[in-house]
This record gives sequence, structure tokens and C-alpha cells, in this order.
Amino acid sequence: MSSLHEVIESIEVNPGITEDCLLYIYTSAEPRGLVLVPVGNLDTQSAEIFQNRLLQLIPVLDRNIVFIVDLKKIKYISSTGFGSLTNILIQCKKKNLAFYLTGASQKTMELMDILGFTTFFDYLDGYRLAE
Amino acid sequence: MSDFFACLDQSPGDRARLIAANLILKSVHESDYSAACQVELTILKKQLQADYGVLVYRDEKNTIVTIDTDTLAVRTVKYAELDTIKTALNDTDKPFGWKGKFWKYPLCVSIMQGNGLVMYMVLCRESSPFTPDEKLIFQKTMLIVTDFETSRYDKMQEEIARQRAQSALQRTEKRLRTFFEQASDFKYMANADDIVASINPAGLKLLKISDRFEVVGRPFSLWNLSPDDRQLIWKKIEEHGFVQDHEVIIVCADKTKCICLESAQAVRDQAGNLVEIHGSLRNVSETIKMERQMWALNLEIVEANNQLKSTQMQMIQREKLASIGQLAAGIAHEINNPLGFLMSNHTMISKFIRTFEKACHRVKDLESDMYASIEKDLDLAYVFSEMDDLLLESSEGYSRIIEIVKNLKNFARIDDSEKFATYDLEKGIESTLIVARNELKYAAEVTLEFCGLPCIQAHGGLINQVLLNIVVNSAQAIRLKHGEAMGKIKICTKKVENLAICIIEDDGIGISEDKLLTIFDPFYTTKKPGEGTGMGLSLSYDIIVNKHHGTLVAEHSAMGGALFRIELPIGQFTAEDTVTG
Repeated sequence: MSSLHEVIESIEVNPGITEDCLLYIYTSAEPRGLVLVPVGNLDTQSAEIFQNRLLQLIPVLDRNIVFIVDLKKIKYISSTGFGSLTNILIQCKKKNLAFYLTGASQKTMELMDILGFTTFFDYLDGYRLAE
Repeated sequence: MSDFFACLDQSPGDRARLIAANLILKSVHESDYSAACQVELTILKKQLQADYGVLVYRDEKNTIVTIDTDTLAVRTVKYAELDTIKTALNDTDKPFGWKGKFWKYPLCVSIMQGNGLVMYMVLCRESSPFTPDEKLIFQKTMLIVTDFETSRYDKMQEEIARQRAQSALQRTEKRLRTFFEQASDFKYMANADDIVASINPAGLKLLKISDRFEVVGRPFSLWNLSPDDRQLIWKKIEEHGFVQDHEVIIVCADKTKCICLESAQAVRDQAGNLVEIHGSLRNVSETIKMERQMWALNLEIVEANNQLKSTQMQMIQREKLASIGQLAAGIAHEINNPLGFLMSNHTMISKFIRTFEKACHRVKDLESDMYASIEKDLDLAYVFSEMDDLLLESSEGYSRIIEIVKNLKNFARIDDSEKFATYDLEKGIESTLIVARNELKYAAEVTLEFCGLPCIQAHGGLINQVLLNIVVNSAQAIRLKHGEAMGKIKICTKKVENLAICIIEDDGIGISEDKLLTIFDPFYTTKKPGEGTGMGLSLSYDIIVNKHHGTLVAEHSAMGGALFRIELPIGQFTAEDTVTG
């Protein structure tokens, strides 16, 4: 199994998921955790790759590290995108890891509500990036 | 006509031209092609004085038919008859058999266009063969007629092809129209400005609209939840020429929302300009609803599984503690009885020794020389001086045994007389640190981060015991890692919902992953034999989890050592409650 550092590095080196989607990773100081920022479209094409990249992180994460997905740079997200986030949430719960969504625009929240995924997730008002 | 022939020089070429002209003239005046053919056959039979004539040709429907001079009736030709004519073409010396009759002298010619048959004509005589001149006239006549006939054949073929193409087009259009109109999916066409040009009934049904013209002529984006999504579809279509299974939310006329998968394709003109898009939307709302229910179920299963694991761990822990509790109760009971008389005897022996000591002093006052001699022989000064220490040590030993028995009884809940009282956890921590000062002062610097917790309902003494246990363990773990150097202990409190939380973490040697779950087992210790009973954390677990319905977990600390997290429920308080710390 790769170490946390190796997985983070692999995401940093190759942020491209698809032509329309990128994934950036940061560490946050408060709460202490990892912040994943998908940029662009999280749709049928990109959702599975996005999910697989995040699932790589779960086995190597310490229980005290909070897992945060920041949706502020999402332009378009489909039910498949929310499905991938739910799958990540399930895997986090299996490992007793805290998983939060943050930065969702009003449009994304409305979409999530229509699709019925709102109640699945815990939401974070914000976070402070580590220096 | 006969006068006209008579004035000619009667050469075969002239006659052939004349006959051909006559044939064409007659033919072009006939609107019915079969009637024209009948005229042709009749004229030729007459001009060449034949007894019988057969004509095979294609009618207006491109069917190969035949007429003969006997009946002039049109009928479909048989394949065998075609073979008969082909034989006659190749071998003119053989008699020609047709409709059960045989003609001795046939004269046969074919007109072909490529591989396509235009016409076969056979003239027959019974009494005399055709002269070379007659044969020449016949062949030349047919040669002249060939252009006319092939031209007519070509036109007919073109017309047939056109009719076929038109028919095929009509069928295709009908099929496509049926496909469009009767499709169960929402289908539409929109122009380059995204104005809807056409929509099928399924589309109207999905949009909950009855009048097609409420949609046609309007922008498609009117029905999208987000105009941005429509722009995204157009961007993809312009870039790739199509979009496939793009999820969109359609807002129906009654404002309900449908989740659809849209596929659309660009239609371009010859210059490559996008002129139209053809789109199809499939309502997947129910599918997504089912998927969502499945996700929810999965989440519930995971949470239930986690709860089950936690409960199982607690049950195992309780079972272990119950077993050790029974053992402890038995041991405490068995030790308590002899301990009672040992303590009593010890008190009495102490008193008797004091009495004996007083007696010795009296003897010393009465017989000082004798006493001095006995004292010297028996080294009584040393005996008396050591006796006090021995008695004191024995007393301490008994006290320790009493304390151990008390703890065992406490663990086994033999004596559960202590009541819950209002307890200030932060004060409790401070008190504990004072008690543990000797353990900590050369081992670690302690940092406190208190949030100002409210009081809780608890056995204050027991909670302090837990705190002391953990803090002392931390100090020992720090010494193991840092030796003489100072380590760090951080104690913080938090209030999360209805829980008072105390986190104690250090930068000591920490706890390995496989030991995190077993450190609360009774008799678990990392210390050398005799240095620890291995009951400390087990008792702590019992106090927090079983007596206070809280949680006690051990984790890895970010400081590098161990982290103990105590969570206690914050109860309801009354004015009569006594605050302890």
C-alpha cells in the first residue's frame, strides 16, 4: 500500500481527471485534515476517476484527520458525481473517518436537494489551510 | 401508305427507314406503350409479309411481357419462353415453337441496353423462308428503332427509379415520423439559436403541455433548471458534434422537476455551420430515486455495522470486566476476613510492644546495671529503634492491602454506596495534577486548555482516579521515550452537544495500533512484573463506560504519543447538588 505522502504526491503531480475536471489537494490546519478541491465538471465521465482517487486516500488516513471535499469550484455536478461522493462517505464511515462537504454554491445545494442527497452529508462552514 | 411505298425505289435500306419512321410515328402517337407495341408488331408483320409475330418487351411497370399477332393480348412472359427466343436468336435454322405451334422459318432480333432486355421481336413464316433482302430490311428497321426504343427504355428505367426513390423516401419519412411521434423518449429539434422547431408527443407529455406551439418557436433553455447547463450542452455539441447522456433538470409546466439524460447531435450544412440540433431526453427520475434509496440503505448498513462493532466491543469488554469483577469480589471477600483479624492483631501487638517497652524502662529504672547488661547482650536499643519502623512499615503494608481490596470491591461494585453528585471536571483535573505532582515534575510540562465546561453528574472520586491513572501513565510513557529530558502533556476540555469531553495526550512512546483495543483489558500492562497490576486502565474503562455511561477511547496523538479521550454525558442538575472537584 502507498503511503499518505505518496498518494498526495500522485494527486498533486497529476491533477487532471478528465478534459473537464481537475482535482487539487491541500492540507487544512483547522480542522486538521485533507481538503480535496474538484474543479470543473463532476459528471458521468469524471465521477468514477474522482472517486477512485479519493478512495486511494482512505486506507492511508489517520483516524484523527478530517476529510473535506470543497465544492466551490464545481461548475456542473450530476447524480453520478453525488453518487461518487456518497460512496466516499460510506468508505469513510467504515473507517470512522470524518467526511465533510464545504463550499457548495446555492445552485449545487439546490441540485443536491432535488436529487435527494442533501441529508447524507455533514457540512463544514469553512476551514483554515495549513501554511 | 401503299402508294407511298410504291414511289420508292424499294431498296432494303429505304424500306427499312420507311418502316422504322412509320413505326416510330405510330408509337409516339400512342400514349399506351403496349398499344404502341401492338402497332409495331402488326406493321412489321404486314410489311415483311410474315405469318406470325411475337414481341417481348417491358411494360410501364418494368415487367417483361409478350404479345403475338394472333391475339394481340398482353401477358407476362414465362422464363421458358425467354429461353426459346434466345435459342432462336442463336440458331435461325431451327423451327420456332410458340404457344404450342411451330413455325418453320423464324426471323429474330433483340434490342438490349447493357445487360437489360429492351425488346425481342420474332417474325415467322410457314411456307417460304425470308429472303436476304427481307432479313436486311428487318434488321435495319430494328437497328433504326433501337435508338428510339432504348431511349424509351432509359426514360422508363429513370421513371421507375424515380418512383422507387420517391416511394422509398416516403416510406423513410413515414418511418422517421412514426419513430419521432411515437417514441417514448422526449425528442426535439432546435435551430442554431436553440429555438425549438419540433417536439414529439412524449416531450409534450414530459413537459406537461398539451399545445405543441407552447414549445415550438421558443428557446429550449426555458425548460432547463439552469441556463448554464444548457450553455454547457451547446458548448459540448459545438466542440464534439454531440453530447451523450448529459444529466439535466427539466422544469415542467407545473413547476415539477424531472431528472433527464439528454443526448443531442449537431446537424451541419455543407459549409460545416451548425444549423440544427436533434435531441433526445430520457426521464431517469425514478432510477435516480431508486439509486438514492440504495445509497441511503448502504449508509444505514454501514452505520448499523459500526454501531454493532462498537456494541460488540463494549459487550466483550463488559463480559471481561464482569468475569474479573466476580473474581475480584471473591478475592476481596476472602482477603477481607483474615485482613480484619490481622489488622486487629497488628494493633494489639503494637499496643503490647508499647507495654513491653514501658516494662523494660521500669526494669531499667529499678535494676539499671542488670538492665544495661541485658540490653547490651540482646542489643535491645537496636531492637526498640527498629521495632517502630517495622510496625510503621507493617501498618503501611496493611493500608495498601486495604486500599487494593477496596479497589477490587469497587471494581466489582460490592460497595456502591457512593452517590452521584455535581462534579466540576476541570477542577477535578487540577486536583489530580496536584496529587500527581511528584510523578510529573521531572517528567513533563503540562499544558491546560479548558473551555469552561459546565458541571456534570458523576462520582467525582472515581473520575479523579481515572484522570490520575491516565496522567501517571503519560508521565511513565514520556520517561520511556525521553529519559531524563522533559516531555509534554496536553489536557484540553471541550463541550460537544451534551457531552463533556476531556482529551489527555502526550509525546511519550505511544501505543501501537494492535494494542489500542487491548489496553483496557484487565491485567494489561507494559510495565515490568511487580511494577503495575495492569488493572488501572481496565478500572478506568469500567468507571467511565459502565458507571458513567460515557466513552473512553485511546488513539494516536498528533504529538507523537498516546491520546485518551473521555466523554461524559452532561446531566441535569438541581440546586441541592453538591459541587465536588
